[in-house]
Amino acid sequence: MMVRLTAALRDLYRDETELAAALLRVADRHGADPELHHGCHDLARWSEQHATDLVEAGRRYGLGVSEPAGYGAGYGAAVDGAAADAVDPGLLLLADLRDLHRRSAGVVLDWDVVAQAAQALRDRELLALAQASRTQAERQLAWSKALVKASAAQIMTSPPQDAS
Amino acid sequence: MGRIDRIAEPWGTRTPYGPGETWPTRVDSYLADGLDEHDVDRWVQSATVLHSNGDALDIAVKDGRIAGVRGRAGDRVNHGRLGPKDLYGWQANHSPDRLTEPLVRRGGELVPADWDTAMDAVAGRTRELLDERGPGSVGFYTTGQLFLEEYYTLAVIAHGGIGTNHLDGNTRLCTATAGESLKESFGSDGQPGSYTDVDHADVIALYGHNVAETQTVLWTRMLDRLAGPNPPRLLCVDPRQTPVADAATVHLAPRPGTNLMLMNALLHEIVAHDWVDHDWVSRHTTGFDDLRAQVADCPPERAAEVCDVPAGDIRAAAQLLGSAERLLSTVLQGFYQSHQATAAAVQVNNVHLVRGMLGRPGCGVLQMNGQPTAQNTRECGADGDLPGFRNWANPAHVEDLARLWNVDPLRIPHYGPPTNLMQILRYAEQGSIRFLYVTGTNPAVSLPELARVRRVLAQERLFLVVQDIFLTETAQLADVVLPAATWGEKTGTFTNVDRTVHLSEKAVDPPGGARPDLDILLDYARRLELADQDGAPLVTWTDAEGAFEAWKACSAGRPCDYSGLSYDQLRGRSGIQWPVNDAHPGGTERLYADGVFPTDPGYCETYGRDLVTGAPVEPTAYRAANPSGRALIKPAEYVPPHEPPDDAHPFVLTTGRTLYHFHTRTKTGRAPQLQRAAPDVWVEVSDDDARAHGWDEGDLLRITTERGSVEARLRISGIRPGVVFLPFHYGYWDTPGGYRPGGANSADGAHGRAANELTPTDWDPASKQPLFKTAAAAVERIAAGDGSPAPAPTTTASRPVRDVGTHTRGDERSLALETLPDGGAR
Repeated sequence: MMVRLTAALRDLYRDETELAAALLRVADRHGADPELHHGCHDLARWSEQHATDLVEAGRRYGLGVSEPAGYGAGYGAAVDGAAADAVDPGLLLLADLRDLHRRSAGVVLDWDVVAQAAQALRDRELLALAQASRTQAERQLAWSKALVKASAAQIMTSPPQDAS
Repeated sequence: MGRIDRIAEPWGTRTPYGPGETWPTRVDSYLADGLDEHDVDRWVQSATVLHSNGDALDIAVKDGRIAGVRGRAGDRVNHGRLGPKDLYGWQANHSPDRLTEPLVRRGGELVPADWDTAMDAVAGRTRELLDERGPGSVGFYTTGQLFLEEYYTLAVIAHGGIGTNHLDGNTRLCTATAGESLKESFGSDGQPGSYTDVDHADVIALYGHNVAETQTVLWTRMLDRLAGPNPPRLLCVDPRQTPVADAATVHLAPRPGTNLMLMNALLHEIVAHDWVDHDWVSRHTTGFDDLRAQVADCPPERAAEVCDVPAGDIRAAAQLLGSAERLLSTVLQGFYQSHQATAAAVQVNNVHLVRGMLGRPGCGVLQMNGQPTAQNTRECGADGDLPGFRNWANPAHVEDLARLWNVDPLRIPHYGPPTNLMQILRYAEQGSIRFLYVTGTNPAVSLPELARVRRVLAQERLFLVVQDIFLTETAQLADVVLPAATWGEKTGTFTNVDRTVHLSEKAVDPPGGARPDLDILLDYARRLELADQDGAPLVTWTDAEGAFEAWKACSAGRPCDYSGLSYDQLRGRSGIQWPVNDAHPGGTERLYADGVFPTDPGYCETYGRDLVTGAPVEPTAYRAANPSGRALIKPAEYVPPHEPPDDAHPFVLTTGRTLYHFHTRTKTGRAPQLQRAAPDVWVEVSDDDARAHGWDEGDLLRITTERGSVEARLRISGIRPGVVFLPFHYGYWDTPGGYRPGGANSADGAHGRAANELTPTDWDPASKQPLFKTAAAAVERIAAGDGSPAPAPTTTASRPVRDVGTHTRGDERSLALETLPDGGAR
């Protein structure tokens, strides 16, 4: 019946899952930057929880996905793999943060869509989930922006050969 | 008058008193070499510097040398008392290995040089880098042990002159979370409470604060209340069986890294039982509904599981907090250096906000400091913040500062939060910072993950300047070493945790060519030709009093207002609590007595941060939610610690201090009475764990984490099972290794004795304070002991669970004087 909402929930499930995977990949790549590394792990846990909660809440709307497992499968090649070692680590850090920021922005917007639908459907349970998850997604969004702002000046004003 | 061995009896003789009474005076003194008071040439006013309590004392001078100390009877902080470190620690000033001339590195060796050569090298390299790579290549790392005048001068040089954002103090390791938690809850740094709250409180809650060892005189005040009529009840949160735990009505020993969950459960109970002052909450706070929602799913049963503390004990603790009529809370490293530091410390503030217990006698929060002058590092901006608790994200505050310094606002870096110490080190590691000027601190022992720290500091491309009084582990890695004068050899002011400002006067000349830190910094500014926008010198003062006057102008109108203070006012009198201004000419005992907080968007020091992610709150969001003078109740959700124990590393390592030493022992290790009391590193394990592994007192254990290993003798203590404790004081300057592991205390020479070989590089996202309390560790026995006990004090938290045959005590050279209120002997 709610074909469009089902699709939106499926997209959101995919985006949260991919955000979690992206956070863990970035964490791996920046082990020597603890604030980024640990922050990624902490915030990936939130996205994993959101995806898990979606499975439960989405069942009534025909969302037929299993609980999230094996994060990383869905994560695309935006800043992936082979190029990573070759590029300037400062620029790689900024690129990774920009990617996380874009993904988080998409997730926030997805939750807005779900929240609007939940309100129209008078589904209190889904609405509460959407509001709580959206709040955390917004905090993920603010976090990646804050890290960009804290490091951009130093990265931009230092010569690239400083890379170690 | 009586003589007492203050090594064996660190807190001295009880002078009991009741609630609301004045703490009796007890004057403690210690004079060396058999002198008595009649032999002293003169007494010079000062205060204590080997902890953060800020006890007032007079320095005895005999024949141009310091000969002892005596507590100042009339001072509001200590009423004459001194702690063991104060009584004996000054002797380090006379050590034969004091630095007395500058050293510069030539052909890989540090060799003596004259001041001109050394300062030209320092200023010359700075200038070169500024020309070639800009201010982002220059960093400064200072301390919590210099004077206000020196911090303010350094902040002007770094922020207004050089224009770098890379300035921090080692207060990052000890009080960054104190400052941040105060900012988050109240809009600005500044302790709401006063030490006199001890005199009135009916409940004192100590969170991760082993006050008996860290601030002995404050504990003496509490002990005297406990010995008097109607004593306060104590709540202690600590994984060790500290003296505070012994005296507590309720002692909670949570699993390390779970403080926030514990606090959320305590708040859950307070809300559930409605121990809430709703009227006060509605008039003076915002955010209570968020808190109620956050703690709703944190009942004691859930916390019991996460924290591994009985739910009944959590209920009993909450009952204690909920039934208090005058609640005093204190917080220190057990929270500040642990996982989710700021979030947990803020929940302590929240207990007071929901209970409406601030600004009245007995109702105070003391987010403690670890070092004597840490408050000044923070207020002067030597921790990277803008001076005077100004808000880097508020352009009007930056313009205000630019006007005061007569510089272009763009010269003052404010594009982002100041670079915290660990990030400064990361930039040095990556090579974008090429110059690091370290004053009065020893990162090669005190920072986490020492192998990495040594690697970073030893880099060829990093120009390292170290200004200190001894050739510390860090100084041994420097390119230039500048010999500084210390306490007793220079004049300046400093401020303790309850905002009490003391003047410390020069008593004697520094040794050889050593110079006051202020003089060295002024020389540096001169050689750099730092100028304002009209070409006049940026730094306009030439001595300590001139710096103080400049600071007064900078602080005027801000929460830490010194404008009504002067050296003359501080001279001869007791310490005075800021703010001191026209409205409060005699100082201010308690902040926020009127329930108005400095949270107005135009006035506040910060717009705050997300307590879990650390992301700064955007100015527009803060302005939109304008708290208009109300305090902010900020809840936070629990996140598990980053390095949980596993099969390979089944223990949790926590580090800390002992009563007898300060920091990396540069002074206390050179005071014979203190050094004898705690001569070498030890490791604490619980009786349960020792039995399970067949370990005995005195066995040599090896503690290993992902970062390295340390060997130490075992003390079986009252610590929580599953947790191991190492004191962090012991480095390498008095071992064959010099600045690194190598032979000392080691079966094969490869293992260290500095606890920070083991600690991880991780920090709290909000306060950026490094974490020293949650590393996963493996423990194994290397060799059985010879029957002698571990070299750990028996008087404090490190005392053995069973008699080990020896007791920590001094000798005839440890006998100090006590003058009790009735004038009699003890």
